[in-house]
This record gives sequence, structure tokens and C-alpha cells, in this order.
Amino acid sequence: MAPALDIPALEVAHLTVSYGSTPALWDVDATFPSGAMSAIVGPNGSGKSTLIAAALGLVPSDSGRSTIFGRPAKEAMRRVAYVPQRESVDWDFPITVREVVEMGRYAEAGWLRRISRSDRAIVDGAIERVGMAPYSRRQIGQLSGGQRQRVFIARALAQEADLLVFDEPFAGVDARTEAALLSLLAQLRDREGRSVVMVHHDLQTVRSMVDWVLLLNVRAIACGPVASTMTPDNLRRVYGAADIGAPAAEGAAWVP
Amino acid sequence: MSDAMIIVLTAGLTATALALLGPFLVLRRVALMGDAVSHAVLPGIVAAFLVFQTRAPLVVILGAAAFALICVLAIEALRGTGLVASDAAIGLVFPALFALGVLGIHRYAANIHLDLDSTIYGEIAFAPFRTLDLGGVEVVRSVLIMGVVAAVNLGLITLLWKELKVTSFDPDFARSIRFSPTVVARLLLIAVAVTAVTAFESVGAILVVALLIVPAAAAYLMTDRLVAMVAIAVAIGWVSSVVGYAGAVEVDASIAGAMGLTAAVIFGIALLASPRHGLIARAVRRARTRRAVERALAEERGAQGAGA
Amino acid sequence: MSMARRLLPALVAIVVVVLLGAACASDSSTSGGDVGERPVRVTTTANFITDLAEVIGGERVEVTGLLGPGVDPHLYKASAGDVAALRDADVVFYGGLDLEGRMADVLDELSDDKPTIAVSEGIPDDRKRQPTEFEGKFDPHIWFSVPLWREAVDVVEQAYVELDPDNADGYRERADAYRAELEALDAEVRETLASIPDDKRVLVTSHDAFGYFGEEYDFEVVGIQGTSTATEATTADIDRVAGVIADRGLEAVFIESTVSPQTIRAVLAAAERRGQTARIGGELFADAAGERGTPEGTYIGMVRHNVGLIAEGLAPSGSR
Repeated sequence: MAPALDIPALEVAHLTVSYGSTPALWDVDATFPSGAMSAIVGPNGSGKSTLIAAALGLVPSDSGRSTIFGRPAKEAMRRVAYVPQRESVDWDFPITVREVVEMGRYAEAGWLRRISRSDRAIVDGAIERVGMAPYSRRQIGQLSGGQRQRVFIARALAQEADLLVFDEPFAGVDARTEAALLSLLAQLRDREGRSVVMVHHDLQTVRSMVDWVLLLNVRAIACGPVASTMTPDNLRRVYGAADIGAPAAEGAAWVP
Repeated sequence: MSDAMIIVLTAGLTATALALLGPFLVLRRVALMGDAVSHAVLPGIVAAFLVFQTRAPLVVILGAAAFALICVLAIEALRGTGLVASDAAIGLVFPALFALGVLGIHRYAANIHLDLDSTIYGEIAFAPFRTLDLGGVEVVRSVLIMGVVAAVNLGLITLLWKELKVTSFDPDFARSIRFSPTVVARLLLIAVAVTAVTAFESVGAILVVALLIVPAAAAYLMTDRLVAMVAIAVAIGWVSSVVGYAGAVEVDASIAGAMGLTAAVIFGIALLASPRHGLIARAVRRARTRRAVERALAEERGAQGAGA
Repeated sequence: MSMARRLLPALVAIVVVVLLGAACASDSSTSGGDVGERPVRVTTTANFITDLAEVIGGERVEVTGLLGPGVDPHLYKASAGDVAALRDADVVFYGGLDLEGRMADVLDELSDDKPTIAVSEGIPDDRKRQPTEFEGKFDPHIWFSVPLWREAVDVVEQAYVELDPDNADGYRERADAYRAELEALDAEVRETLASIPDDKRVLVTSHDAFGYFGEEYDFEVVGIQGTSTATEATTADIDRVAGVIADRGLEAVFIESTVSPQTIRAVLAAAERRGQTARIGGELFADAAGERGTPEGTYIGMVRHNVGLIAEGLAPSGSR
């Protein structure tokens, strides 16, 4: 399916966010087409996570606006599944795989109501789809890094959202699991026309698997189809000269 | 029913009311909320006394509850700024309120006995003697009050179960599905403040501070399910009440003290002997792993030796 | 609908609890009942009240005191046995005037079942001290005026006579004898204190338990901190008191058995800097009498001890 830009899945215009006096994002314009897999790429501290959170209205922005499928972000959040960075998760929390995935149905159930039988069927399907059915009664802390990430992707699937937004989904995940999860996301895009936007650090993966990319370093450096956007010149502008072509740019940027 | 039954029932219902909320405080890393409230109510007592010139329980409770709410909401607001950590927020708010209370006493009420012990903190030993006339039927006050509070808390966490679960576990995600962690946290903390103040009045401070956190912390070590954690916390509260009372009678000691100590002992047992997270289980697992590794290494060396 | 069903357990719980609470109360009220031939069971709070109850009750009574020596009645924590002591008592004597803090509410509720009597209840309002800020709140430390404590004898005597009329004569005899003893004690106190000249009649203590003592025996009482034990003395308090010690040339100040002596040491240091060397004249019994079985374990012994220390500390060296 060709990326559709007539109604983008996610669009931000003049987005500016600052923490204290230092800007985290400065006047960022970016468009992510619907039905495509997009990545946000940039060095540490370039504002990638902030961009996602601000675009979804989860952190306040100083200026600018964002739209989801052509509607103001706040009104369209029902169509979004957001998977935050995993480092803030308390892995000792007494909760099972199934209970985490059920949270994907909470928005549909609404406040104070319990999830319905049809919601439970959706949860089962999502767990099945990421191959976690044998572990559904496990406490999440007893899973490997890749399994944990699969649980959160299952939760996003259970939300049945048109736009899936991931913040560093493959941090701490081995290469094989990453490939499997990426092909699952590609399936969602190809068979169901869903849109994916993820913060990603592995330039190699981005080149081979992703349709569309935003190069970000506080400002938007370039945004467009991977082939025409990830030029050596643009990458140099994002990362500085040293890191181009390094397989994991963020990791390689730190040289003792 | 005997005095012993009333005391145990009062303690058990208080433990229930507190243990229904405690697990969420432990999981949200604001376990010291109970201690904070126990000190922060002082200015409320002073204010109530200055305005109404009385130490009547109802007035004192209302004054205390007002400042308990100010305390928990101020802590939550301070946490919300992201500028100070949870423990620091607690450590900043309640000493300020307590200091305000001490200043108030010093300035306006230095010559009368106005302190927490003589106003708000009740004594569980006296529970059987404090009754209430309810349409011609005599009812034990503390059993009624703590029972109603426990039932209200049960209703609250039943209704807000999935909201509490998602906002405690993954607040960023909760925000993205429009389940405001702030609103849920406020509701929880209001319940904590009201429960703590009514429990102070019925059974005294030690028991409240102990039963809010200790059973929840012990339960946390004993299970991997949230619903089980809450149920175990309530159960530990009841065991502490029964065993603590029996112990207090045995050595003629403070009932609240004995119950609090029993809860602490149960926590100690859980810490040592919990099947999954206990120290003994952990040591056994480590020893087993070490033996397995040694065996594997020995086999490998043996195989290499045979090969060479 | 489903929400209402989920709230059902909570509602059921409330109803059960109300019923339980009612069931509890209905069988728990055991009255003292007729005393008959068995001894009168008496429960008291502070230990000098225990002493009074025993002296007037004589052989006819069994007294259980809840508070031991050295216990501040405001900070008293009940033990498991105290529940039975209150439940089984035929009569409860306590200090009143908020001496027992929150326990007063309990004693008040208990009065539906059995007589609970404040030994201070016979004292007319105009003889009670009233702190200036709050109307209707009286200083509870009446026992340091021996004539006021004599009023308490009447209260206890009256309670026993009503409870156990068959033995009224015995109570009356013991009360008469004790009243005579207290009168003698009062005279003795005045005589002992006569050795202190007017300008030295200043009693500096750590907290305000001696107001009635001061009024009765003509002393100016200077407390370092207020009545409430929740606040601590300020530097201004310490300066003020050190000033009094220096101005009046006092040689001794006193600490109390229920209050930490730390603050008073700070005061002595401050007075020293102003050129007046005072010493700690000893430990006065304030909110509790001494250990049972020692001379100070009785009311009379406690008063003698205090007055002896005060006279020794404040009288000019020559007269000792």
C-alpha cells in the first residue's frame, strides 16, 4: 500500500516545547502518512520522545499544533495506541501479561465500567498474535526483554487503533525478536492499513524496513520517504560527521 | 458480645479499611502518606479549637480531616511538578504543617492541653465503652464508623479497580487513553486522608500508620497478583488484630502496640520465607544455580579432557 | 446496573457491620450491680487518686490504679488489662478538668453504666484556676493545694456511702480521720514554708503544674513552658525565666517527675550568664506520686517531699 498523504496519520506544525529555558523541540514541522511505517531518528537528547508526547498532547507545548487523521490530537486520541518507553515501568508490579494487555481495552470500556466479553476476545487475539499465549498468566517481571516488549505491542494491538505510536520499542530486544516484531508491524500496515510511528535508533533497520522518516535534532532536519531523505548529507546534519553509517548511531556516538 | 470481640472487630475493620488502600500507596512509592497525615492534622485541631472553643470529637475530626486533605493534595501537587521526588514531597509538606500546628499552639493555646494525643488520637482499648444511640439501638461507635469506612473503601476500589491498576502501573499510557493519573491519585489520597483521620479517632495513630503499610508491604512479597496482594493485606490485618490482641492480654500491654508489632513480625516472616521473593527462597535458588553451573563446567572440562 | 451489582458487596458489608455493632453493644453493658458482701471494685486513674480511694475505702474496697508513678496522665496509653478494670469496676474515680485528656470522653460514656466520678467535681468554679485565653477550661492540678484535695475526700466518701450504704459508718470514720490528717498536713506545709522569705517565694519549674500550690501558699509560679506538652520552650521563654532567677536571686529551681529536665538546665546556664548561680533543687512530683510502698507513694508523702525540697532550696542558708 502506498503511503497516503492526503490525510496524514499524524501531522505537527510549528511544534515548540521547552523544559525550563532550553528548548527540547524548536518549530518542528513534520508529516507522517497514513498506512505507512514511519520512524523518528536522531541522536540522544534530540527531542524524539518529547515530539511524540507533545504531538499526542501528553506534555504541554509552548506553541504549535498537531493533528491526527486531520482532527486535533485531543479529539482523536481514541484512534491512537501509544507505547511509552519501557524504562519507567516497575517490573516488580504484581500484574500478569494478560492484565497488561487488557489495559488496551480500558479506553473502550470507559471509566468505572468493566471490560466486556467481546473485549476479552480481542485481548486473547492480541496475545495470540504476538505469540505470548503460553505466558499470559506470567507476572511481567518474569519475562525476557523481548517478551516484555511483545506484551506492550499486544496491548497496542488490543486498542485496535489506526495509529500506533512507539517510543523506542526495540530497546533491550535481541535482533531476532526485533525482526519478528517488525514484520508483525509490517503486516498490520499491509493487511489492515494501519499507520505506525516509532522512535528508532538503528539506522540500518530504518533503511530496510521503514517507509518514511523524520530526522530530528531539536529542529526537524528532513522529513520524507526513506530513500530520498536518509542522504549522507542529511545524516551529517543530524548526527554530525563522525557517526554516519554506524549501525547503531546512538550507541556509537559514545566513545570512551 | 465481649469486650475482646469488640476490640478485635474494631481493629479488623480498621485494618480492612487501611489494607484496601495501602497496596496502592506501596506500589506508588508513597508509603509514608500515613505518617505524614498523622502529623499534618495538628493545625486542623488547633484551628478547630480556636474557632469553636471545643475539643468535641466531631469538630476535631472535621478540622483534622481538612488538614489531612490539604496535606495529601499538596504532596500530590508537589510530586506533579516533577521538581521533587515522592519521598521529598512527603518530607516537605508534613513537617511544614506540623510546624504550623506547633506555632499555633504556642501562640494561641499555650496554657491548655492541646496536642494530638489528648484530642484526635483515640485508644482502641476504650472502643467497647464508646457507644452510639442509633434509633433506640445501642451501637459500638468504632465498629460502626470503621465498618462504614471499610465498606466505602471497598466500594471505591471495586469501582476504580482498573483505573487504579492502570494509573499505578503505567501512568504515561493511562494518560494517553484519557485515564487521568492525577484524578485517580487524588481520589485515592482523599480516601487515605479520610480513612486515616477517622481511624486515628477510633484506634490511635500507631495502629493506623502500621496497618496502612505493613500488611501491604508483606503482601507485596507474597504474591504476583494485584487482587491477591490486596486480599492478603486485608488478611494480614485481621491476623495482626487477633494475634496482637491475644498477645496484649497475655502480657497486659498496649493493644495497639501489640497489634502493630504482630504485623511487623508477619512482615519479617514474609521477608524471610515468601516462596517467590523471600530471602530464603532467593538463597536456595542461588545455591541451586551455582551447583548447576559447577556441574556443567565440570562436564565440559571432562569432555575437553577426553577429547585431548 | 452492572455498577450497582458491583457495589453490592460494599453495601452488604455496611449492613452487616451496623448489625454487628449493635449486637456488640447490646450485650456488653454490664452494670456494677449490687455490691452486697463482696468488696467494692474501684478503678482509678492517677496514683494519688488510687491512694485516696484506698485510704477512704479501707478493707471494703479493691482498688485498681490505671496509671503508675511517673506517667503523665495526658500521655497515658491503655493496656489490655485496663479494659477489664474499667468494665468490672463498681465505681471509677478520676481527676477531671481534662486531666485525663481523651479518656474523659470514655469515662463520660461509661457513666451510663456505673458511677464515674471526677474527684474535682466538688470544687466550686470560683476556687478553680482558669487560664486567661479560654473560658470554662480549668487547670486540673488541684492536688497541690491541700485544702482543695480535702474537697476530693468528701467526693470519694459520698460515692462509697451511696454504693455500699451498709458500711457507711466505716467510710465516714476513715474520711473524718483523713480530713484531720490533711488539715495537719496543711498546717505542716505552711510551717515548713514559713522559713522562705517573701521575696524568695518564687517556684521555677519546667511546666505549669503548681498553679494551685502557688495560690494556696503564696508563691509566684514561673513555668518555663505552657501546659501543653506538644510545644517546646522558646529561647524567649528561657531568657524570661533566667531573668526572674537573676532578679530575685533564686538559689534553686525544680524539675518534675513527668517532664524532661533538659530545658531547665538551659535556663540554669542562662541564669549563670546573668550572674546568678542556681541549682536544681530536686525533682518534684507533679502529675503522679512516687513508687508504691515508698513514703512518696502516698498523697501525703508526695506533698511532704515536694514541700521539703522547696523549703530546702529557697530558704536562706542560715535558717536551714
